[in-house]
Amino acid sequence: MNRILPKGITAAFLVSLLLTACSFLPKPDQVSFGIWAAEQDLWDEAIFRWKRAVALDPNSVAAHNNLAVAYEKKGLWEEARREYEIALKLAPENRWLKANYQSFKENLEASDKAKEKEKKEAEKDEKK
Amino acid sequence: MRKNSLAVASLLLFLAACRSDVYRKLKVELPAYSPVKLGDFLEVVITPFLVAEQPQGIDVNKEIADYLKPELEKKFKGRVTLNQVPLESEEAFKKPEYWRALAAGSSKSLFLTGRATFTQETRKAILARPARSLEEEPLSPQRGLDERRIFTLDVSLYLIKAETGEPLLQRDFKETKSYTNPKQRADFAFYDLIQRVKAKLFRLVLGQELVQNRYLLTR
Repeated sequence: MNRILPKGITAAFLVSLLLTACSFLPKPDQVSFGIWAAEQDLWDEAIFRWKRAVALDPNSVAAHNNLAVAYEKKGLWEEARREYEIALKLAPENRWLKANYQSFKENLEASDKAKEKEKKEAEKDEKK
Repeated sequence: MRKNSLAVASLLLFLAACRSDVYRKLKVELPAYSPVKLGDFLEVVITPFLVAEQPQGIDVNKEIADYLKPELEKKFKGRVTLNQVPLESEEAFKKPEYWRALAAGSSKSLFLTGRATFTQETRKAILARPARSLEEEPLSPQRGLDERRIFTLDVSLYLIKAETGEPLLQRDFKETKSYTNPKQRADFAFYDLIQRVKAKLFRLVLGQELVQNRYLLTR
């Protein structure tokens, strides 16, 4: 009996410790739901969730950054740029956000070059 | 000693339970720029091409429609339909009213049409195989004449907006392939060449997708 009691107490202690620690974890919110949806490739659902997150907390860097990524995925460049810019104003030193924005800008520059080329070719065709 | 190990285990457990990442790294397929926003349209209508030349036994118009319709359906979310009204002349490409009338009010349609020429020819080719070794062919490389069957598909493609009747995109594609088999069938060659045209056209119209890493922030 003496031997069993300490083990039981230890187990109870560990379980209570785990539960206490888990209580510190953020509860599933709109941002997390959105991430889950994006991971399942449900980008429309993710956009819906992150828009709600922005409505609830307009200063949520995560929601603005994630919305920007979702808009990029949908090819909505202007909307993506707007969301990245808001997120960068809120957290200019966030390195993951900066990494996302850097890649976004590079893609946009490549697109601009393609547009320019397209315009020149169209002008050439018109001259013909 | 036992008390210490229990404390360490408890701490590790606490930390493990508390752990939550600040970000999630995701590989995202991002669309690249395309001059045509295909998503703006509800329907792509494949209309007959003006065929200037085609080998006997092959209907280029039918082959184009049969090949492009299912391929477009795989990539385009809207409807892909065939229109059987033949084009009368090249002038039609420059007549917005012609396309507006053909659209009959369905402004969210895009016409895919153009000119096509499919030709075949046989050419003599000089063979010049270098000798593999002195023992095999000690004197000179083997020379001779051989026949090659050459097919060329020349497509001038138009994407015309039904709403305005104006061309949204015009591109020329010229694909040539040489076959060592002098009896190469034209329909098989056509299939090889239209695949190349499709790859270039789709790259232009749909935009190549880029796979890049993005960070989703959890908080």
